[in-house]
Amino acid sequence: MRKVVGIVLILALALLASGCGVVVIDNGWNFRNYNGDWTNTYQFTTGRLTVAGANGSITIEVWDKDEVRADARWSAKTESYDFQPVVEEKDGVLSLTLPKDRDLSGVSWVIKVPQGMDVVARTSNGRVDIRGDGFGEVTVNTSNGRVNLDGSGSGLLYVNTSNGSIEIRSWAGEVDASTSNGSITAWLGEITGGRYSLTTSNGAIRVYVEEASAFDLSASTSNGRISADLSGNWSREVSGTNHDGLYNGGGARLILRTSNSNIWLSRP
Amino acid sequence: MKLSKIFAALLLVLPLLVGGLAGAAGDTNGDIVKFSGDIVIPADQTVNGSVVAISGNIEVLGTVNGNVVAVMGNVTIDDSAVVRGDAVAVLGNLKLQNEGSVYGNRVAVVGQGFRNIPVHNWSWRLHRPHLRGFHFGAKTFGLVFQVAMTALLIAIAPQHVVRIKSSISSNFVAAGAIGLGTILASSALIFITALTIIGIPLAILLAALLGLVCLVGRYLGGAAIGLLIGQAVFKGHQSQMNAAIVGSLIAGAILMVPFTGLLSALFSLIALGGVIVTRMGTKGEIVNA
Repeated sequence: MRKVVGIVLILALALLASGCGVVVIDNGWNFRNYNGDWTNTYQFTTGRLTVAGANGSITIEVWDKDEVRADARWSAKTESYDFQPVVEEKDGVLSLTLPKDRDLSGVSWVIKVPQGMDVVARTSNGRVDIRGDGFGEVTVNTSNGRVNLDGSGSGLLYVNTSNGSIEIRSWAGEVDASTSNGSITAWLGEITGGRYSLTTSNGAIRVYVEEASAFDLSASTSNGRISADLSGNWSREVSGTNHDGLYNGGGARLILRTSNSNIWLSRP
Repeated sequence: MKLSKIFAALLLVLPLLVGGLAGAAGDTNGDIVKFSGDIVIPADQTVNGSVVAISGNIEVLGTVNGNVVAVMGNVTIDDSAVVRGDAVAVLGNLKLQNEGSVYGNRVAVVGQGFRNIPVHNWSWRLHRPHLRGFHFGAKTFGLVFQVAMTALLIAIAPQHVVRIKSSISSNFVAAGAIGLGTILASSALIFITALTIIGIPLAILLAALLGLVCLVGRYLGGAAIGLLIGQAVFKGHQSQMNAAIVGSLIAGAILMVPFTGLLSALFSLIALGGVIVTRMGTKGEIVNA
């Protein structure tokens, strides 16, 4: 008898809950997202491009045309949403940012730029990919997303992400890369001057440099170890959790910081 | 980072907290943190790190390869400046002469014009005989101090705060129970020790130690709870610094409401438990937000 009463109560509660659900949906609680595409081209050959996204990725590629092409994939809460980014061209800066609109849920960008352009990419909850050779300066700010750089540039590469790894395939200029929870892997080539700072709180740091490089190394980890596989001249043996020393007489400034993992320095 | 390193970092930061920081030309490697005073980054200076002012204004004319954060102060970014990270003003104004100067996010939290409130109004309230104004002033000061400590701790020991936050978020009931158990067990131990005359100095030492642990627990754990609330609010849209500051403000604002004393005690116990479980944030796993 108790079992029957229990089943009846559960069924009644389920019916009540489904009724509430119907009422809620009927009252306009809508969790569905609608997607759309947006494309435009800009006659913009030199200067700085600033791109802002949200809840989506950003991919920026170098191409051989003298114009910028922007493709956006947007998602919104309403079916009839008309996505129009805020576009501004002023003082050598082309800026593509998002309208302040509650109906807009997220935007992913694919941007193609001419060679030599400075790039600023800013997004949240999305990865950032930078591809191609011949960038100027590159600045990336994202949260909860990884950053991949597969290309080259001559200016400063600044990368800041919160929960994601950073991978730098090649870069000719200085590097300032930091993440909170993620590993950093960087192929820096031959470095003899400039500043290269790679910082993470929780993740390994792997740096590949040519053996002919010359740098001042400042590396530290709290719960891990530092090791190097470079056969040049070290001013002191690389080991332990903190290392300050010169490689091949010093030159570039290489700063590597992590807390809970290892630091490796190696040839490519 | 071990606890000793936190204290070492605090000792290094202390001269900056009380003294002035002269802006020097060239490169500055590392964060700049200052309490009660303004920071000016000259046009010919590059800071490779973040700039944080607590109860002070920040004016950037040069380059900052990091975040610029002012708590109870204004942030002014000059036309010629470059800030590659975020620009954040909590209880202050964010003034951008050129929108393009800040490459990261721009955040102004509460208090457009907060700095324009005359200070004597607050002190006048403090000296009034009826306690209502005093309590409000004390609570406001406590809130601002907690937010300032949160910003400082996130700047100098982010992984410790994140570890405590992870511990609390994974099981806040256990954290609260451990916090309560620690208080009860320590109090019992102090009482038993103090029963003997020889044990009285030891009991005083234990009480001082418990007080110190509670103090550290309050601010480290408070920063972790602030980060937890902030990340829940922003859903990862903001950096840890922004999330922790906003979260601390929200928690503080809730606790300013009358009759929330029990909630405050609960927050304190959970914070203390999180700090103890993670050995002041040095042990334990980090769970991504």
